[in-house]
Amino acid sequence: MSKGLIFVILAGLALASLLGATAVGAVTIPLGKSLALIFRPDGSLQSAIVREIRLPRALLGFAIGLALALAGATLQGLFRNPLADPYILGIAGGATTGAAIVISLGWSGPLTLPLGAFLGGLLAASLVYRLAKRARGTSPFSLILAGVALGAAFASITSFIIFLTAGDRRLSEILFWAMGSLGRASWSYLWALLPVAFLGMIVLLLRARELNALALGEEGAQHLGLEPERFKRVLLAVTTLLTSTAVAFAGTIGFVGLITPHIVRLILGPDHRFLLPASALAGGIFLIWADAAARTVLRPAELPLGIITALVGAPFFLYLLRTRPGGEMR
Amino acid sequence: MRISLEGLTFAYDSRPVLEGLSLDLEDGEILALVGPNGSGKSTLLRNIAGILKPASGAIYLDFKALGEFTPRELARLLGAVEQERQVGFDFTVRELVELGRLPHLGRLERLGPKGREAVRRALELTHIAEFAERRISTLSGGERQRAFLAIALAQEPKALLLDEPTTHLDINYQLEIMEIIRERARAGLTVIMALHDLNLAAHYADWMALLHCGRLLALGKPEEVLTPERIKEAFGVEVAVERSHWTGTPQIQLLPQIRKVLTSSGPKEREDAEG
Repeated sequence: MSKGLIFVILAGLALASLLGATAVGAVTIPLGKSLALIFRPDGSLQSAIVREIRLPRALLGFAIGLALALAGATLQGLFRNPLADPYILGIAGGATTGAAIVISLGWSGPLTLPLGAFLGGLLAASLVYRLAKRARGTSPFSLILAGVALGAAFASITSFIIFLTAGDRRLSEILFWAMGSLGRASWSYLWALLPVAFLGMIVLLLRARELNALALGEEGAQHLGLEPERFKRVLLAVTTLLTSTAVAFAGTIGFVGLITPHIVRLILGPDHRFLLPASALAGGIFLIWADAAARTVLRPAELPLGIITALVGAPFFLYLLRTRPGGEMR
Repeated sequence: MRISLEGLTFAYDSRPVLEGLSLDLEDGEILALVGPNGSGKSTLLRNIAGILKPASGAIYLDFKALGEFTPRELARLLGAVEQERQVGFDFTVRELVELGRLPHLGRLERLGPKGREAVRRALELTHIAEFAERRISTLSGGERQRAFLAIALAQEPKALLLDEPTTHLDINYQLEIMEIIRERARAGLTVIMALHDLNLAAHYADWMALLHCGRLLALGKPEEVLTPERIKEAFGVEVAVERSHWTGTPQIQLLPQIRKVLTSSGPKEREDAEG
């Protein structure tokens, strides 16, 4: 199958998922009806559900899946480590702590929240980058261990903040982060998230060839005229921005950034010029349907989305750990 | 390309690794860097490649100081393969060799006919055109090393810097790699390579530089450099040097049993410098 055809299929699937997910939820609305309501609202309750709740929710899911998968694919290339992902490296943990601090201070807002998350994520990213640099040339597991340790440290800070906030009405708002949900989707969230996701994707796509060169190692990339130190910092900042924004709007949604690039790499190969955009589309599609499952499995109750993605992702991660011990190839 | 070193000195955290190296290479000449582990061979190559900055002294490429080139400009002049390169993901050979065109391409510029031709030629010169579409993980060590050489050749450089291009390879692959390198030198590329194998180096090098603890112990034709005295000074072992019956180049004979007899005062242990 040619690469072009795969992209056409992925783009078609993405569109179909965005529209199709509007038929799924606690209230059953037939697909034909929900599609009609998207384009011709009739002022009914169903129309409001489809247009004001489900469609923005599907779009938010798509954008967040896209951001996380892009971040994961980039981090894996950056560290030449197939086990890297925003959560495993602790970046999302830092972002969660940053968001939790903003909420506990009562400063929560559509701009302050992502900003707090970004600062927390940036702190985690720079820490893990420094630790990984020292570990260069040793086992790829030292990076993972550093990330896991950082993630645990940030998780405990987040828990501490939750503990301090106990009894406060802000508690429920923080707890929302711990589990991950698209339940707060609204059009105003989307206007904040979509530009970040879009710009992040453009920057990363422009750097795809350099990520390929980095597969030769730092020195190999330098022999091709690149300056990996500079370029790695730029990419790390962009991945942190994508991750933090996703965390700020949807909380903890693990493993999307880990699994998606892997599956895409198996089909398309490791060339980041194809891997990055295809992972972005696939991650978006995956999250739309994971959210659809979260909304319907225990209908009318709604499962936290993080539970679904972890349920799929954790076994997959363990499988990778077992089958690719050296972490060198693929 | 003419490569000149003038009093090159390099230090890691104020610990000197290279001290006052000077040499001159003309177009199409092959220089083999030999010496024990930690003698500074890789460090010297990294300095010439512009990856490490010398503490003092200078490097000139065609009479222009190395510092005046941008990294991209350098990558168009120098094709380099470092020691024991590992590829992070399972790219195809062609995808990797196309990376060699990066220093010639703008961020959004496609490979183009000129780039495709350079890639085709690099694959052909290294005899790997037939498995261009194979993934790197499926190649043998010798094939992989030739793929790395092809990346460097796709850069269309004027010089090659190679760090142990034949290590861990079977002898047939060692010869094949060295033949490819000599062919490129005859086509005008200046070659500097670090080699472990003194005999292989003697066969192929025009010039040989024997390094010891960052200093140039000897620089000259292989027959001038490879003497039992110098080998003893650098490696601390007794060897015999004979002229190859077939090629006329000096060849080292290791003398495991005789060593004790010859060194009546007891073997002098010499520890390799670190780094």
